[in-house]
Amino acid sequence: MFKSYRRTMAEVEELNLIPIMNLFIVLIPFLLAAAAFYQVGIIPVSTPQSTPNQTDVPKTPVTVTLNMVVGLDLIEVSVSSTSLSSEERAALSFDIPKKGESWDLDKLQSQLQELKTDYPKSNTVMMLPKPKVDYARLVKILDAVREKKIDEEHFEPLFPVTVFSQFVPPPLEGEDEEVVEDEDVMNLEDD
Amino acid sequence: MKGIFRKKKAPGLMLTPLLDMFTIILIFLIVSFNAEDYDFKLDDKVKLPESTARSQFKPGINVSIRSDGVTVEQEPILKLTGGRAEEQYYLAGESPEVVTLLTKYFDDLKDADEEDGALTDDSLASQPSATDDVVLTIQADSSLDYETLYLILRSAAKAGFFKYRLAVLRD
Repeated sequence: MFKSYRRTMAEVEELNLIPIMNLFIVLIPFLLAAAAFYQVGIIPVSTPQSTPNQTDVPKTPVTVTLNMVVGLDLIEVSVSSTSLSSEERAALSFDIPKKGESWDLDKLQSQLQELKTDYPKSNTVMMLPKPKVDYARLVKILDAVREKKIDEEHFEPLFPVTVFSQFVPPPLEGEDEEVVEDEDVMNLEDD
Repeated sequence: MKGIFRKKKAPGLMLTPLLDMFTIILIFLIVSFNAEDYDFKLDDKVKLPESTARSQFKPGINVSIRSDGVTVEQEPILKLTGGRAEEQYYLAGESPEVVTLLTKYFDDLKDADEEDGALTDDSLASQPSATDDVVLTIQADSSLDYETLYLILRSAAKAGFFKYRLAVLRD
């Protein structure tokens, strides 16, 4: 009786895991090499494009284009629109001064949100940073301008269409006004 | 007496915990594997800015602007010193080297588009061509100033590229 029991026990062999291990050892280095441990996102932007019959000023009466001059200490926001008078446009302009070492982006967002509420079809911002503004800071400002985070899942779009141009200081008194190529005619398109 | 001289079983390697660990690692890697990112080569010398942008990465012609130079599809094209090009480029508003190389890329795309027949047929002339959708993917170092970034964007615009995707690290 004991002999037959021993024989039965000897016949039960262990599962051969070596081929599975071999497979795993090949797969894991491949996947590790291909894995991205960072998540790369994109911000679609464009530059002004010269086209004969298109202007940067919106044709529809209910939209405005933001012009955002980003300086080292101040963000100056003004609007362009065909339907608004210069006084109305001036009333919509505002400045965001630097708060300590950083920008008051919450204030910027709330002001933009008010503009968006008044002109819901507007979506374009013309960024006119000054030459020495650093790129990382510009991206932070763009994040605030493009959309507002409501919660982890929901975002409210503000001005997602971004056009980069160059700030050209206004001519000093007595100087002839220069024609700025970039601000002549533009074609604003989203990515 | 018989039991004392019984032959001991050779000790075997315990593979089960190792297999468990490998299974977990494999599942994690397969889940996080993103085929779209596979083509994208992040420039080691570029420190991308962090952003809350939620747009998914899409491939494009890769332009990398780091503090020591500009590369197009990993080909060095312009030397920068401390993130700045020579002053003559800023005065001219463009870098002729970048314009020349990107014009070549743009023309190649245009030629490929024409070979496909999209532009030869009048009925299709109004349809979007390949060059309409060509976008540059810009990997720019976060320490760069806007003047240098705009110099490259403007040079690209001179070559025919008006749309760009700024690569950022998602928060």
